Amino acid sequence: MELDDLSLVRRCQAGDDQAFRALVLRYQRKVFTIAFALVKDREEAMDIAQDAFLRVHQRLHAFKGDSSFYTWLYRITRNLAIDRLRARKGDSQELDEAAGWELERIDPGFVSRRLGTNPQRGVLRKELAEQIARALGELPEKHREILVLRELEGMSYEELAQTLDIPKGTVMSRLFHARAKMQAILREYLGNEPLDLAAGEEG
Amino acid sequence: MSHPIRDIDERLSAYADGELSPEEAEDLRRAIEGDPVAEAILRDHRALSEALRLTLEEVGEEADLSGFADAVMARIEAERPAPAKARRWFEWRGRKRAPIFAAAAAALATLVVVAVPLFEEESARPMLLAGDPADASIVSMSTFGGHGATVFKTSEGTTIIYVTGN
Repeated sequence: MELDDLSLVRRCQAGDDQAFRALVLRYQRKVFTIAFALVKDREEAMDIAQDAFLRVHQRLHAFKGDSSFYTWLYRITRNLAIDRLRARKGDSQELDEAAGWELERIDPGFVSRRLGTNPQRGVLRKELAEQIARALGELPEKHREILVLRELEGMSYEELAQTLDIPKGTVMSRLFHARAKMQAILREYLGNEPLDLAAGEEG
Repeated sequence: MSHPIRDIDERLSAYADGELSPEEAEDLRRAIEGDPVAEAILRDHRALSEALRLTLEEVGEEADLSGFADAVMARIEAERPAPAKARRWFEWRGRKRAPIFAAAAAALATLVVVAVPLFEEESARPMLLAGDPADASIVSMSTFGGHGATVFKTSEGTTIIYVTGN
C-alpha cells in the first residue's frame, strides 16, 4: 500500500532515506513544472527542483504537518524560483493586480474560436502549445504563478489564498487579470489567421 | 476589437471556476441569461483553462527526470555532516563488508610484520603479531571528528587498529 505524504515525512524524520526518495519521486514532475513555469528555463528549473528537495530535507525535522507537505514543498520551490528571477537583471516585476493592464478585454469569443471550446491532447497543435507557453512566459510572475497553480494543480481559491498568503478576494481579482492579460497576449500571437486545430496532429 | 471590462466580468471568472456561493451563482446566472458577451467570455474561459492545463502537463511530461531522484539523494548524502557520514560508512562496512575489512586489516598487519624488521637493527625483537591476521575479528568501530577507527583482534590476542579519515 502506498503511504501518504505525512507517513513518509514521519519516516524521513526517523532517518529513513528511502521514504524521502519516495517523496521525491512522487513530486519531482510537479516541482519541475512549477519551477519551469516561473523561471521559463528548463535547466534552471531542474536546478531549482533539486535545490527545493534538498532544502526540504534540511528542514524536515521542523515540519509539523500544519500545512500539507506539498504546500510546504511548493512554497520552498516558489521562493527559490523567485530568488532566481530577482537575481536576473530586468526580470523583477513587482506589480499591482492591474499593472500594465489597460482595463479592456479582447473580443469576447476570440480565444474559444482560436483554441476550440474543448481542446484535446493531440489536437492542441505543438505550434499552438508553444504559443500558449510563450504567452504564459510573457505574464508577470504573480499572474503566471496563480494561473499555473489554478490550471495545473487545480487549487481552489481557498487553497490559493493559503498557498500564496493572500486574501481570497485578491485570488479572484488576480486570476481574472491574469486570464485577461493572457488572452490579450494570445490575441497578439494568434492574430486573425484561420487556425486549423487538427493540422500537424501527431499520432 | 476590444471591449471595456465590466464589473460583472471578474465574477464571471469566479463563476466559471465554480467558486461563487450557490446564491451568488444563481444571481449571476439570472443576470447573464441571454447575454451573448457573457456566454462568449465563459467559452473563452473554458478554452483557455483547458489549453493551459494541456500545455503545462506536456511541459512536465516532456522533462527527462530519469536520475533526478538519484541526484537529489546523492546531494543529500554529500551534504551530511562528516561524523554522520563516517558513521553510516562504517555501519555499511560492518554490515556488508566485514570480510573485506578483516582482509584489509590482515594486509596492514602483514605489512607491519614485514616492514618493521627492515627498520630495526636487531631482528631478534619479539614478533609484533601473534595469530593469523586473516582470522582477525572486529572488536569495535567508532568515529571521532572526521575519522573512523576499527579495532580488530587476532585469535592470539594481537590488537590491530585501522584508522581512516576523510
